[in-house]
Amino acid sequence: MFGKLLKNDIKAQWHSMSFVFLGIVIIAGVAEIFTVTTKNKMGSALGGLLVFLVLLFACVFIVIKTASMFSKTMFGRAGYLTLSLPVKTSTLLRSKTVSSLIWIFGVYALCFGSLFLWMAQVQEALGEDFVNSAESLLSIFGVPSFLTISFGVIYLIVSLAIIVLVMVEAMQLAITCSHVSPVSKLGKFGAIVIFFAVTALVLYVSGAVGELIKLGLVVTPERIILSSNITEAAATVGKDSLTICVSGDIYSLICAFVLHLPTAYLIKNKVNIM
Amino acid sequence: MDIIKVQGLSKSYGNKNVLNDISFDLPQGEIIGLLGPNGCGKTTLMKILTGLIHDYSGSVLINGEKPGENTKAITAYLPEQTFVHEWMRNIDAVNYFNDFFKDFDKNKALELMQRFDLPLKQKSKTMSKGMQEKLLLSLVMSREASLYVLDEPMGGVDPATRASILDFIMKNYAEKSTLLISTHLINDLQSVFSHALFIGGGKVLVNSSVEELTMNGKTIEDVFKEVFSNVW
Repeated sequence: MFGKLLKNDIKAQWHSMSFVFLGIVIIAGVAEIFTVTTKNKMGSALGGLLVFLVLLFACVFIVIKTASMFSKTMFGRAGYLTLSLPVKTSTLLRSKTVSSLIWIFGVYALCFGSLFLWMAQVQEALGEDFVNSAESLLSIFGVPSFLTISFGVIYLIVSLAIIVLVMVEAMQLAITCSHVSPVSKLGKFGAIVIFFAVTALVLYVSGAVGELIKLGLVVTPERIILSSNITEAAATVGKDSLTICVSGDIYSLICAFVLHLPTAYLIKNKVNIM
Repeated sequence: MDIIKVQGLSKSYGNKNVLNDISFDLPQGEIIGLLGPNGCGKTTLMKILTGLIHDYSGSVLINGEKPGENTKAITAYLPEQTFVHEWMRNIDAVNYFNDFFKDFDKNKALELMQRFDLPLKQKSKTMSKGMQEKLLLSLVMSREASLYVLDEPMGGVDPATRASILDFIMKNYAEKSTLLISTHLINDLQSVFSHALFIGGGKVLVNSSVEELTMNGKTIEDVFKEVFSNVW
């Protein structure tokens, strides 16, 4: 059932969000034509900036659209169909989470890609080489190993993915709460307050957990070591290593899964489809 | 055997008690008219039976189980308003039902839609209310459900179409299943009911077979008027 739900959720979101992607493609195309035809290098950098700004807007828009889709398909008229399906509530929610993540990550990946492209264009416009600049910047911080850089980038993506997951789960909880008395009296305002409160709380405590529990990874050019105290472990390895504290992210990940439970409970026991 | 068992059911919206400690059982294999004036709780009761309203007190059992995943698999629900997702074309709605309901007969749905002149590639949101109603009926009546819960199935159609829709429902519901139909168009539907449940003022006022109700030559509409003239 999960596969069928996911297929239909992705289809529904495609119909609702395809125009965002169409807009991105059109603007990127226009900017690209401008970049190629203009002889002014600064002009081409401005084209890249335009694409990046559009994608930045798309990043915000896609989150709002995802929230609106969740609300419509669960608690709007379509909720009559969604909630009369012979499917477990948690399966319904999992499908909505995964489909939301796919769209959000898609736009975020495009946004980061365009940011790097724009940076390269700016460097070129200034007469500098992007790769050389990146290498010199990294050498200042003393992280010249390819393995450590690669691992650092991968971990950064995972870490961002965890934050997005927390935000999606908090958004689902907030919208669900706004359909349950007494929060329902506050409407969308109640949902927004709960979303920011829950997200801020999880991320704040996650930071505190990271400070208290120094569980982490030490990445050296030769290997990756799991350490219960990365401060001590970092002192024993060379400057070409990277230390990453993972306890905060593990806490956030657990929170994301825990946030799913009250949402499922409320939908199953408290929400009325009106 | 009773397919629906309700004990001490109460539901309120704020200070307003819509259903007030009601109890009744409804037999399997009957066509049951759920009748009552506007705002008496018919839709609320149907939503409780189909698992769309949860914050009630009392006990509700469908085929011996609390409304949930298992009862939804055997209950076909036609709400008062359209529930098809905005992006769906008629064919997408058919495929959606086919994906999720094991008792759904896709060929039957396509055949019914053809009979209603519903274009498969038309988006449901661009159709008139009457056409949307026909689409929903085609979808719901293409299930081989044990219980059909139809909330005002003819509310949005003109009097000329009502007879054909009623005929359509009668010809297409699964044999031995139960039909629970709410309506205020008693005159149009009374000929098909075999059982009637009247609710009003938060209470069950009548729960009886049509045979018993009409024993002394009265129609269901006569009984309805009699009952509700005393209540309101």
